[in-house]
Amino acid sequence: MANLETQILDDIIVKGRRKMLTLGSAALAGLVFSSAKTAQAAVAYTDADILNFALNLEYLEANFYYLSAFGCTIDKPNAAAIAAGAPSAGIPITGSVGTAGTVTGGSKIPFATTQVASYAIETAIEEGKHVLFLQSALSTAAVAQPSINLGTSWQMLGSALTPSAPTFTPYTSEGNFLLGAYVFEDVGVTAYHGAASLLTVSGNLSAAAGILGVEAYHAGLVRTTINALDPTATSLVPVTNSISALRAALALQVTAASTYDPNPDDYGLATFQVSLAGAANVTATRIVDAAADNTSNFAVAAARNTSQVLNIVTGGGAYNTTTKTAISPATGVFFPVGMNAGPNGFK
Amino acid sequence: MGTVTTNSTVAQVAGGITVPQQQIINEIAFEEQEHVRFLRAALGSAAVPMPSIDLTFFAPLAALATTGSTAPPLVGFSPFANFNAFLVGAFIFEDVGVTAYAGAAPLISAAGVTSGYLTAAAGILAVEAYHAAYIRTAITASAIQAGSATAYPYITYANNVATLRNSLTVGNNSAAPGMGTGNTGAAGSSTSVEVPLVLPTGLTTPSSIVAADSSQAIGFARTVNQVHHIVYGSATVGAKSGGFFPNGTNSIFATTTA
Repeated sequence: MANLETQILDDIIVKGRRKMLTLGSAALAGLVFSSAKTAQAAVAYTDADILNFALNLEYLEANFYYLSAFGCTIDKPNAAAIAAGAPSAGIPITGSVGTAGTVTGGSKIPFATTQVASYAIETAIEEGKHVLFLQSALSTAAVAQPSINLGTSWQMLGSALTPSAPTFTPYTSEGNFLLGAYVFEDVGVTAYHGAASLLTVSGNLSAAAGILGVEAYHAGLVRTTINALDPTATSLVPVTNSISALRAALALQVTAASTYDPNPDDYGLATFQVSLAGAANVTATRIVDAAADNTSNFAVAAARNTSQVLNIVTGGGAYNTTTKTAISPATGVFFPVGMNAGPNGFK
Repeated sequence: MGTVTTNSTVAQVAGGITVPQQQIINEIAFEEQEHVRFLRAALGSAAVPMPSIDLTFFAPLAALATTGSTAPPLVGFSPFANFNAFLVGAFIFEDVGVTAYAGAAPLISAAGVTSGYLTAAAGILAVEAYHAAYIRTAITASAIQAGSATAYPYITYANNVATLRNSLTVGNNSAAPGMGTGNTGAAGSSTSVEVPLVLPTGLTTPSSIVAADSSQAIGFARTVNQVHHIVYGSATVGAKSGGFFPNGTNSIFATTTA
């Protein structure tokens, strides 16, 4: 991607609502006109390119949860996975675009509670169904599973956190597993959100909206359970703040050259102050990952464009911060050799 | 402008709630408040005033939902009585909010898409789903801790509500284009638009936090009409008001259809 027009379009999509609200209705009329023109000029990709981008992310998420819940990958379900509802023949990982890559790392979580075990199993099965659904919707246009790193990628990610956690792995405890899930789920929400406006076929939009809802249910589940496991906000909660700050920084890198929204739009689980009906501030949890600065964001969840999502899941691999240009294919962290995509696809 | 009717002078959740419980209520209250402000700002002079709202309707709605329940039917229910009752009250709304925004998304015009309305609607959909996940997770976790649905009947009440919502989702098989079978229109999807909560036991069975189509794990959608049937608490076709909206909603969709 990353021709100028798609970049502009992405930018409008991501900050459209905020721009709309901060500039007022006179500017809004101009924005509608100019962005409509941009959209016409920028049809370099198809719905299939967008759905394939989502499919790459679903391969990643589904394998993470299958490994965590059952100790197997999606294509080779073990008895535990099949008993929980995984297709016994496994989920296909081949496609007409790209060669099926392997998954490295990952192992079953030593579950201690019914809550976390049942959540992991539910999520694994649902993410697997998303892979199957997208493969079915894309039919012969579906990409193969890219190479996925679910082992050393976590230490790379941990090293980039502030404070640094260079030995982090999600596979040693329920708490760490939830932190790993936390890395993915809010990103999934913002990715489907960013993609929604790009889809041209109504049925695809309906499906994307439906999957967006499911990803947000997962994200809400993860955030709720982390709060429950860390009621004093001293062990897991501070890490969520670090992860959110890293995601925000990586997304901002991609758009640093423009006057992109200075608000990072990514919030960990630290409580915050809100004003209800104009009354004095009260303390609120932060189950919802949405900006709420009381002036322009109105508790509407953020969207990310494909470049921003790529830069997060590759740990900064999508953007050369020195030359300020996009890198394609983006490689690093979870996608060591990049995503699989068609000729005009996002990678 | 309408008024809000409640069944207590101070309609705040009582019954000895904890600090974290108060904080989650604060969060959801704040975010829904912001959605009102957002929509009013986006609509400008086209924004409708608040209709009259009757929050005492929780009691008859709960009684209707729990008639014949395996748990003792809820009589005189108020979501403001205690935190568990609040969860059931919130459960009535949140999954519906998710489906309402999902159903509305494909209806937004091309001009609306380029001007950012679709992405805004998708952003609110996400927030409603975060809320719904909190409610479903909290009820499920409490049931797991209590050990049984008998010890924590609120999970049964929530499922009674889900069943009622499903029956009020009128015209499921003849829904708007793109929503053919009552949810996403995806091939193979079921006609139910509800997924009951389950009580997982042990370390090998799944929970049921996500309300989504069981074959493809895609969230459901409802039409504006179906949402009206639910908030009016009535499957009657041609109803102009009822339930939470004693004078109807301020909307061109206020009269229910088949």
